Formats: sequence, structure tokens, C-alpha cells
Amino acid sequence: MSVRRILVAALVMAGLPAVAQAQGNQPLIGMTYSWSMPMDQTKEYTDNDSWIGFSFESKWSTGDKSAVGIYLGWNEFYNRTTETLELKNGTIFGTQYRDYNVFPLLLTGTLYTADPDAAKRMYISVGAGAYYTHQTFDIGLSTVTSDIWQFGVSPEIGVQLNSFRGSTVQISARYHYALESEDYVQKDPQTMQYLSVGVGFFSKIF
Amino acid sequence: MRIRLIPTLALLGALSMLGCYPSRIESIQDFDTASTLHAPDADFTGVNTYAIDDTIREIGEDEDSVNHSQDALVIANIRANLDALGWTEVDPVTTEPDIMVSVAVTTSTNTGWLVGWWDWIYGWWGWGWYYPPVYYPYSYQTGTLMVAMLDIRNPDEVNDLVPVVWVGAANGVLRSTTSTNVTVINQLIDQAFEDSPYLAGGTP
Repeated sequence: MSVRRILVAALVMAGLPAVAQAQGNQPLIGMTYSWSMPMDQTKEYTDNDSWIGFSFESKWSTGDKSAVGIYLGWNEFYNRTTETLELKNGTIFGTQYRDYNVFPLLLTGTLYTADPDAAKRMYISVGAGAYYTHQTFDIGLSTVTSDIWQFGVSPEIGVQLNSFRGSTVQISARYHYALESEDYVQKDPQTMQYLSVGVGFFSKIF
Repeated sequence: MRIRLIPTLALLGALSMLGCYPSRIESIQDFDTASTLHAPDADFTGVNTYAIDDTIREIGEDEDSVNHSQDALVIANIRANLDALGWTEVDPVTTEPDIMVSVAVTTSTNTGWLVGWWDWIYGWWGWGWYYPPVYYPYSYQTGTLMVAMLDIRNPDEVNDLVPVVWVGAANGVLRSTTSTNVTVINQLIDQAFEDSPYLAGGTP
């Protein structure tokens, strides 16, 4: 992904609050802690579920049952293994520490089943944007790292439970899918795929 | 109050996660690696014969630091792997082989200082003490044994060179006894061959 596209995405994100304010609704901002399960090629590299996952999210209502937002996440996957890894011009075997630090930077759109004041709101959401991954591969006395930018999408389903004084508890399941990139250390191009299940706490900020 | 709850939860979560991190190095075996490299256009189709240099050559900064008393065991193990590919050894003096195998070893000594801190010690009068950092010297020797295959069938006649089409390498921290080093090296070389099934005839 080019720097220009990232800048355009950042400018769009920066403009979101103004759009939302024009709608006259209070935005929600919050943090979610998530457990994640790697899938497909991500699982092949780090076959280990992750308990390290946090995201910060804001949602600006564009109507009673819709919102747009920003999702900034961090998920780490790691695994200690002795499996042979196929590299672009060879192989390497030995005790390895494999690690992905994934940072999704997404714009999101959300549809709710109920009005903002309802005690319980089911929702579906789709996010799209950049995935930045820092890959670390430790073996023997060597460490190889790679920084990867990918475009990805992320559908989500969840429920928001409105509690007291404007606070909201959110329970959600989110699937992350970032398109193939050749920048990983592995021989073949890799996608980034994982499923996250999280609990979040949100609050109205205006 | 409810806004402060979020960073508090984030901090507690992050701290709890630190305890889940695995150790990267737990024993000396964790330094052992077997790696292979192949030329991008390598093709082992039709390879039937090989010749091997019986001498393990030393290269690098720590030359003459290797005990060669058990070189024959290492060469014998490489021969066994080559034979298992279905290749036949020939005498290069009388017969030109398809592949020439050369074995080399390199070692290097690594030294340095680790800086450590003693724990805080609390005196009986209740005031804390700490000591200046302590320095631990360390020294270890690493070694790499490389098995290189030269494709005699496709020489670069213009530059008078023979291309290297495959390298298998066993790398690790050297143990205190030669026999242990040989055992480890042979296991890692076996692994390098196992990870290169295309050597039996084909392309990577």
C-alpha cells in the first residue's frame, strides 16, 4: 500500500467526526480486549491462539440505526516450534520463535437492529483499510524481521448492552482478512486471517 | 469515572499478558539450526553421479580451530545421504561427476559482557538499598558446517566457474566434546537433506 493511500485514508478518518457531528448524535469511544484464533496461512505460521489483543474504536452515529467509525487494533500471535520453514530460496529448521504483531487500521460502517436508547442492540459491521504487520522470526543466533502493509476487510457481528450513565458493554466477533502479500519471510505470498472474540467498554464522549 | 475505567482495564490487561510470553532460548540445543539454500534455477533432474572431497576445509576468521579427528564420520554421513538420493559416487579422476560435493567448516568466537542488576535489598531499618550493575563476561564459540553442491554439468565456460546449486548448513554453539558436536552436526545435515526432497530429481 502506498504512502499516498495511507494519507488519504488518514484524511478521511480525520474528517469523520465533523460528518458525525453534523448528524447531531453522540459518538461512542471505547476499548475492546479480544482473544483471537489464527486461521489459514496465519495459523500455519503461528499455530497458537492469542490472548493479546486490544483495539480502540470510535463510532459516530449517522442515523438511529447506523454509524461510521474508526478501528485501531493490535493483535499478537506467537509460537515456539521446531517445524521447518520454507523460505524464498531454501529452508530453515531449528527451534524458532515466530511472531506476528498485527495492527489493523480500519474505517467501519455499522448497522444496528435497535435505536440508541434500547437496552440491547445487535449489530453488524464491516471494516476496511490497512493492516500493518511486523513479523519476527528468531532462530538460532539470528533474527529476521519484516514489515508488511496489506489491504484488508473485517466483518463483525456483536451486541451492545447499554448500561448506566451512557456506558455500553460490547460483545463481538470479528473476522480479519488481509489480502496476500509477498513481503513475508515465507516462501509463498501470505494472507493475514484471524477471528477475534472480544469484550469492549464504550462511553459517550460529548 | 467511567472514562478512567478504560485505560485502567487496558493497563491491567497488558500487564497480565506479559506473563504469557514464552522464553525464546531455553537450552543450548535451541541454537542449533539446519538450513538449506538453492540456486533459483537449480534443477536436479537427471543427476546420477557425484564425487565428494574427503577433506573438510576451514574457512573464516578462526582457521585451525577445529578438531578434525572425526571428519570421517561427518563425510560418511553426507555420503549416506547422497547415496539415499539414488546417486552413485564416482572417482572424479577417472569419471566426471554430475555433482561435486565440497564440505567446509567455519567457527567464530563471540565474547561480550552482560549487564545485570542485583535486586533491591531492604535493610532492617526500612530503607531501600541497591547495588551498582554487575558485569558477567561471556564467551561462546559457534560453528557452521556447510555442504555445497557444484553443478559440473552446467559450467560457466566464459568465466571458468562452476555454479553452486545447493548448500546445506548445520549451525550452532559448539559443545565441549568433539563427539557431541559430530552427533549434532550429523543430525542437522540429515535434516537439511530431508528438507530438500527435490535433490532426488526435480526442481525446488
